[in-house]
Amino acid sequence: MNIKLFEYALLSLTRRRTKHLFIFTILTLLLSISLSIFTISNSIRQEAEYSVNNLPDITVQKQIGGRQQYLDEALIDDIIVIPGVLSATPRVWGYYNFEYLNTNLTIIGLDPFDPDMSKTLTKITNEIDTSYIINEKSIIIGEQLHKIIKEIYNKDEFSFQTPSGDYITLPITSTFESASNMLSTDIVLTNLSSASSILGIETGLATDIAINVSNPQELSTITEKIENMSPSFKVITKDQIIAYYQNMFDYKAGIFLLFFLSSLFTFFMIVFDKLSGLTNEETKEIAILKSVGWETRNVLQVKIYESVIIAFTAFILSICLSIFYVYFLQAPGLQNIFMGYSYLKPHFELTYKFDLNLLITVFFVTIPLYIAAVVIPAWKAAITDPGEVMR
Amino acid sequence: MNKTKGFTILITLLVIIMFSEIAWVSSSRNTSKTDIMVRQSFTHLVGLPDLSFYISSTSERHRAISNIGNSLGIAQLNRETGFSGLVYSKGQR
Repeated sequence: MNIKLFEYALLSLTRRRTKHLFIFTILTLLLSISLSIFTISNSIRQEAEYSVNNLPDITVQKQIGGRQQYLDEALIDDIIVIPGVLSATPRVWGYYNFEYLNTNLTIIGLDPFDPDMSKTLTKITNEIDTSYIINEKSIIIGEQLHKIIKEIYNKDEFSFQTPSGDYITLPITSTFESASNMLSTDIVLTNLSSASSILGIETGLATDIAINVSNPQELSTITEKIENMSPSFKVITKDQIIAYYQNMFDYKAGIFLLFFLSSLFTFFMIVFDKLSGLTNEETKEIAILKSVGWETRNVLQVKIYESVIIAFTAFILSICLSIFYVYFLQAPGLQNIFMGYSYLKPHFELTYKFDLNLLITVFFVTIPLYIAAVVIPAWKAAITDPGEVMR
Repeated sequence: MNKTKGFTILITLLVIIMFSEIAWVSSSRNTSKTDIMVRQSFTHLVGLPDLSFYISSTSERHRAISNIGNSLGIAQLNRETGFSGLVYSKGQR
């Protein structure tokens, strides 16, 4: 690096500080916003990926005429005998519209005789006597929902209206650990009979069947065997859900990528337009430098230094700003784009994920283009005959 | 050389701030193993996908699981173009 030319580039930037400050500010804002969006998206994606592997290997639902129907629990007997099936559990779950908050609660019925249930419940809830949910009719809900119910009714219970119009009032036994907020805010856990009553599902019917297999290699064979049982069965595997999630997040981030690329394109148009029409003063400066012995190479070197100084400083500053905005301020405004505007919104802190690929991508998409947008017009001016420019 | 010196100091400061921020957030905003265990146990128990955000049409939790590809414009009813076609091709079966 030529230190003298570098010093000259810095002096040149100071001389035309208004123009360069404008470009620097726009570039920093553009990079900060795009880095913030991708960081929030990555952070939420990571949250979703933590738990997706714990879903059942296969979920069987029934669809007739494109509408989901309840399954007969007796189907379990046919599924469990398929070689390779480890467990098949009928599940009762559905949505309950909580009009006050204009939101859907997810009601899930737990099988009181599931040996795994008590152990798992102890891990995910605050102080619960698991025998209570098995023997008595009660509910476990998220902390946020509990707080809202307390504020509205000032009671530790909730009344559900069944499809027939009757009311079922269930006491709130416990709340979920706050660590599960991202997953549990809209969930209401209760036992199977209460869930069936709230959702109006007849005894002996289930919403779907969750199946686990002993050997993942046999998954596709088991899937095909279940599909062949009835054309109305829709079999969804864990792999499909995981693949879907990757697509969904890419789709959401892709929309922002589109905005980012449009803004970037507009920015480079502005930069190119501003710099391609070099002012008389700048053209004269290049001509004088050439007439006092500078080579085209030296002129270009100065221009490269100028653009690298602006671009590199803007890039580092935008990383600092995006981290501050996303993790210190918790991304006010942008977070709602990903999370919606429901009253029942989980409270959580975005977790940090250092994504080197993201930084490298944003760097190479913006910086070389910016340098090119600065250097090309300067090169055009530098190859013009200095005598002609002076005249 | 004053300008070069000033610029070097500025860049050094920015880099120090950047690394301090990264160090701070990676130590304080990382999900602990206990929290991950709680989340995994939760999903294991309820067996439902997605986060609990209510974003009207984009919330997958509020759909039937068998209609999971709908928001991407994938018709689940048609096996050839359905979402499962992306994961399991006929040949693999």
